[in-house]
Amino acid sequence: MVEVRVEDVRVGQRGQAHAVILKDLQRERFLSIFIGPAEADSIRIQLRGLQVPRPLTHDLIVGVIRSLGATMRYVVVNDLREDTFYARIVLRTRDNRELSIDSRPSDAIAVAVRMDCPIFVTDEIMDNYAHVVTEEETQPSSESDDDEDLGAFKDFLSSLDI
Amino acid sequence: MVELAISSVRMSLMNPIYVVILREVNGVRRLPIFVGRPEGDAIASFLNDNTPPRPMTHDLLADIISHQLGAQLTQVVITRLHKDHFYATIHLRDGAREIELDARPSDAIAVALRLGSPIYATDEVMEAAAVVPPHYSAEREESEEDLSVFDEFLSTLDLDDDENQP
Repeated sequence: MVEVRVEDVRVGQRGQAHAVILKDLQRERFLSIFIGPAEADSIRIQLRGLQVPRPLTHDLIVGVIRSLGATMRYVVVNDLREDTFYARIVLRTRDNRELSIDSRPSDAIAVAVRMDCPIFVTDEIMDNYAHVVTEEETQPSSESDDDEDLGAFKDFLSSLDI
Repeated sequence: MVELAISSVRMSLMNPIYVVILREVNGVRRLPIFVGRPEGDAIASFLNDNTPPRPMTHDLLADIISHQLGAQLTQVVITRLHKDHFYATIHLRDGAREIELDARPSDAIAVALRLGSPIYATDEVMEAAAVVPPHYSAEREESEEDLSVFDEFLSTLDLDDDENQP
């Protein structure tokens, strides 16, 4: 399994398609997963530390898990079938049982970023579907320092048809 | 406390706004609540018996509460109306423990439907925001005046249509 972190949540130019971009912690490669607008907002709100007046659905899920004495171990994106990614949320119960719960990746990630738990993707999915940033793509451009780091990423994003 | 059932979920064609109309189980009052689009979808899709190919967020929530962590959702309560926002609580029973969590009414309703749990509103909420469909009340009460804008909107809805009950 490959540990990843949420690099960003992107929205298509027409505001229709949203994608969460996961970055391999060890290597320059990225996996993008299309997700729904509500889940995209929920992840974005948490990543940017925005305060919302009322708990969102994923906040409620976190509240339920905590109040029932369970802890989040990790989430994993573990399958891709017919263009749909699948994920599992892995919890440990108060009595030390491990539960693996079927979830969409968007919900799993939205919960994971709130509980600060690791996010994994299986090797098979990363090897087959991650976008690898090549040497050429990482060549510094004439843009500012901040942009340099993101140059390859931007190229990759601009190649997405969202 | 007043027990409520879902009467219908209405969507505006102009805006991404849903209104969930709750009806009093032992009375005639209706409680309309504006909800966000994803939560409105989550309620409507359940009422319409649409089984999505993948678990949606409220399906996941219901699964975690009931099937995975073995708790019971004993009830959800719409507790108060403050600055145009409704507040709700969901009530879990975990063995001998009773747990109360703050929630938006939309989330509370969506998960209550999935787990077959009763939905209540406090008397205070009903007094502040419930309406009686016109044909039940020939005389409009004065207290409804300050809800006039709301009433105008509601009068455009067909509240009598209870045929889409769960």
